[in-house]
Amino acid sequence: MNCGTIEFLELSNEILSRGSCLRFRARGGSMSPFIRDGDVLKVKPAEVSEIKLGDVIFCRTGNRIVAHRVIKKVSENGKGFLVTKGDSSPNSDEPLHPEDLLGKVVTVERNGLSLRFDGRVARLINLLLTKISPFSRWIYPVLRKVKHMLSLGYQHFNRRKQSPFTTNQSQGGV
Amino acid sequence: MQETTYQKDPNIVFRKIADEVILVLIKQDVGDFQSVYTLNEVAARIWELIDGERKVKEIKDKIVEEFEVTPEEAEKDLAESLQKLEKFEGIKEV
Repeated sequence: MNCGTIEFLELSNEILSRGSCLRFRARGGSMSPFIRDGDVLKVKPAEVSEIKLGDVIFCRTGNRIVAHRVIKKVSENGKGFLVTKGDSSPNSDEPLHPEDLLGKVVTVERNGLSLRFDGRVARLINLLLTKISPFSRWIYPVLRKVKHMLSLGYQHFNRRKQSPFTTNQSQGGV
Repeated sequence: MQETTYQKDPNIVFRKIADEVILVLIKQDVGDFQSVYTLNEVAARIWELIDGERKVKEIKDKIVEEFEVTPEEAEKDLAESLQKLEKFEGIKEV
């Protein structure tokens, strides 16, 4: 049985409103490379007043539930609104009503490692990512290319370092 | 067994979807969607009937009546479901 969006939203809401955290597998790539498809997120309950710029929040936008980064905080008629955006999305989301905030992402788990979002270094990275967020559609493809070229260079360097003796030995298999 | 009464664990959050029920256990203050438990139609009805007051025998009678199964079949389904729910920490004896 698949847990649909509505059921997932209701169950999440109930768990968070009890003051407990939530742990689930993320789907989609709108926060890539920071959060990738298949990463496991832990979310804790949070109020708008405690959300800082750069935080990744778990919220309802339209009929979807997303974990997106807060890139702006605006105040209108004494009410605080949050503006969010997926790191790799070209545009920001509609301003978020306080009641649509469900919680705040506190850890991301990938390949058995857990990255905490509430540490000082993570806060700095989050802030940096918020600043470059408007240019993400240009910056991320360039960074991906640089990473790809670096990994090719590393592989080439490693191949040259291997001696013929080592290669022959490993191919022998006796 | 027949005279035993069970109650739902208060740390379980659940939703009915069509004929099935999905259970999420809140353990050590975390509701983990990585370990959810899904109940089929009969198990979902058993889950509904567990209220901290009904005895296992009364639940069995309801299952026999509603699903048109023999008392033996109902007893087998019930014992299996209760055992699994207890293992998942979804219910406990009163």
